[in-house]
Amino acid sequence: MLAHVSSMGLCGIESYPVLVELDLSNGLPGYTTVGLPDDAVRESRERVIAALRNCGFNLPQKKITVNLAPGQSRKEGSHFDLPIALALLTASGQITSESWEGKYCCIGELALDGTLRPVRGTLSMAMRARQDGFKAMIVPKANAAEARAVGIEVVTGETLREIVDFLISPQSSRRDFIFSDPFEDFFSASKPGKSTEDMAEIKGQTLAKRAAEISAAGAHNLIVMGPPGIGKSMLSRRLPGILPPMSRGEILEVTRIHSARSKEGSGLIFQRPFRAPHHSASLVSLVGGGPAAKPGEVSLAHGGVLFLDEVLEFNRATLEALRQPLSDFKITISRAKDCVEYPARFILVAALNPCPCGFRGHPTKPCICSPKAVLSYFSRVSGPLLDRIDLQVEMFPLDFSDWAVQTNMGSESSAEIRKRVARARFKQQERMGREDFAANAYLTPQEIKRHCVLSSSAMDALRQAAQKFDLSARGLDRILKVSRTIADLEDSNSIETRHIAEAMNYRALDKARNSL
Amino acid sequence: MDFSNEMTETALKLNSAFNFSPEARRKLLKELGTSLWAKPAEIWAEVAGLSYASAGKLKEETSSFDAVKELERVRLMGARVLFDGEKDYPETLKSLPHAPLAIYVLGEIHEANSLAIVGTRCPTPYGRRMASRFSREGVSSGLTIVSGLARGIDTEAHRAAVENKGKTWAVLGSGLLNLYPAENKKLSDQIIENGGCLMSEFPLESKPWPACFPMRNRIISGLSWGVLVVEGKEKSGSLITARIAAEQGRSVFAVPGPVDSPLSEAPHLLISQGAKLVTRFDDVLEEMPPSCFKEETQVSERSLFASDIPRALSLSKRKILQFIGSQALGFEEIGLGCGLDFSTLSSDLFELEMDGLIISEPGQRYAIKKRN
Repeated sequence: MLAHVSSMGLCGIESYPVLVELDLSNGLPGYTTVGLPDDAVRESRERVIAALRNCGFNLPQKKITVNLAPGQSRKEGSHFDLPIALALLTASGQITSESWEGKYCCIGELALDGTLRPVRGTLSMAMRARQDGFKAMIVPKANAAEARAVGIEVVTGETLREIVDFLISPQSSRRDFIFSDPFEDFFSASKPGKSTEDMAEIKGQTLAKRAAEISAAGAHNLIVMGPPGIGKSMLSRRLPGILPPMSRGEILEVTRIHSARSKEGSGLIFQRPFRAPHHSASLVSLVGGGPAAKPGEVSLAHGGVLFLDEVLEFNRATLEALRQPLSDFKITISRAKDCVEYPARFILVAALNPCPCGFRGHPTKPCICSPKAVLSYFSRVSGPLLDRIDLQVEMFPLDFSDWAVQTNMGSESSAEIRKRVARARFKQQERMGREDFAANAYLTPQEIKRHCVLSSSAMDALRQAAQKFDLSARGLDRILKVSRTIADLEDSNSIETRHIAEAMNYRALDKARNSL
Repeated sequence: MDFSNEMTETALKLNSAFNFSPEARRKLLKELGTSLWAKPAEIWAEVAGLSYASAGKLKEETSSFDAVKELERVRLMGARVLFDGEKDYPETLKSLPHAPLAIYVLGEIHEANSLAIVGTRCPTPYGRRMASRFSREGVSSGLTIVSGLARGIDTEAHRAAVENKGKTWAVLGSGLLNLYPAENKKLSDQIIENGGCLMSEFPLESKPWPACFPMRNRIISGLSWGVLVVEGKEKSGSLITARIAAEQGRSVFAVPGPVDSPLSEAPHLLISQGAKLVTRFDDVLEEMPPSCFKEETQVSERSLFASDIPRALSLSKRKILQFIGSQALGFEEIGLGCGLDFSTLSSDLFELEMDGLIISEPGQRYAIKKRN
């Protein structure tokens, strides 16, 4: 007696179809799993047997062989419990399979009492299931929203018994399994981030806040330099609060990464991620890897912000590994067993002190660093990496907080800034003709030529500045991209001199290095 | 004194033992001359007024010094050694009891009115600005700026002098072949190109021992008729220099700073003890001894005050220039002071910088660019 149940396997964040085959034969009772199972899959035997018994099903006293096809790829995870249990019930004749075999794809972990537990990677598996033409997906309740988001029909239940009941008589219980589109609640309400941290809490520091706004509007990477305790982290942590809401495609891609890693079954992720690894982070934890080629912080920050506090304290090799994701927006991890590609498109926010003692250029405190020490301090991060960071701003202690009030700038709440940012981002999406990940920071050199149209006076100003400050070709592109964003924030189609002038403000680190 | 080859070598050998008092060594040279080496240590002790033990050490140390080779190397690197008693030996040092027996000079040395500018190695931006301003004004009044080529104030003073095509002398605390700090190599080249010089009383290869720096301070003050202290802590080398200067009968000047800055301690202490408070360069010039006015020198400081701001600029730019004045101010301070909005301010600052009227400093601060 043979049974087939369709399921999915997970490799990185990609899924591939797995067919669970189960054979019952006469002989000494036993249970074997083949098809390169890892420990979690092999242990499913105990969970499946206990769950079946506790749900009141019979366990056949036969020799049980489970095969997970294709046989050559390694199977990981506990989500094969449910398909194996269903295959066992079918093979032993306790349920019939004509109505659903090959049409439904199932995943789920079983508790010993038959309850369904959430699993990793549901979103990715549901995407593949839809692509492969499955009619519906059977998933644990906690994963239902995730699966539904890709537009496939979803069948769910609290326990194995409920799933079996549905498979026996779909008409009687079908209604419980229809879900509304999980996106609708979100987009109709258009909730802002639930972050309690607000930009209005930062007094003064107009220039730094403006840089954060530009960074959010054009997805530009940002360096914040300043003495200890000035509020560099405070500013950076408020950046996600002014980022525009994610598009549908972005939500799916971000959820796909997080769902492949964590098991909570928290549903779709609408908040842009904010990741702040400590500077002792290893290379693998930052870019991903390990025996199972897990995604690293750069991928977990996809669509959001990667904040590196005290960036110069990071291991140099770790920092340099950021170069590929910063220019390709993805990371390829090759290991002996697997080669996996993860998306990694994030806004890099790096905070650093202006010198080892932290007081270089401070209005009152003396700096005790020799020029040589400052040079070697800055040389911990390479030029090519710095070249990929569009905005550099310096924060300084000031007694003057009233300028902000007087000119009505800098006292704005995050929500107000966010509105402006979202409008600017919308302009960029229209210009680039796509909704997902359309921002000025991602403009290619060809697109820069096409979209960054300068007025003639702005062209003159740029030419002069390039000569005076000895800007490289990449440096010029950076200025152009940033001025494009500044113009977008102002709703101006062409780039004017004032936009170029403002963009030139955000070169604090270049200036600091040149002054040595 | 007659300087034969033999005499030169003897003097150089004696000069190399810089741990012993210059007076004792000078006595030996004057009374015994070249016959010195034949005399036993007991006679040395008697003549120099030293104990037998230290006279023995002095003799041992000086005899082992290879003066012939040293003179050859001095010649090869294009430097000179000036001996006390020779014609070229600086007039100002001659009168001093502790003057060095010989001094190594790389570059040109000439008769000059010199002002020393000294201060901390870790100055605030204010200190740097003051050092650079007074050095520039000193140079334009025809003075030679003397300092120690150390980091901080010394470097600023030398640099401002060089940038304004002025003469400046750097007195080292190490040998000429052991330039310290090494990052000032380029600056030292510029000093020589501009007709200044590097000098040191220590043998060519002498290391920058900590004890050498207070010793060279007596030369810095000795060469000058006045010493200007810019910034320094309560216990600092600048105070030592100022004390020696007073003992040598030189004028001491101090630039005040913010009272809550530890780096203002030294200048304020000096002012309370009678040093002259300097707020303008005229304060220094008033004290210059009459003998120093050999030629007509005129103070030509081009200050950027209201009348000096180019007429063609827009109102907001004129306002910014006027507001910045002689300080370096942050972006927001300027914005507040001039009552400008963000976008006008950023484009005005950019254009002023492009026109070369202001420069940006570390810390996103802006200052008026000084013109000569």
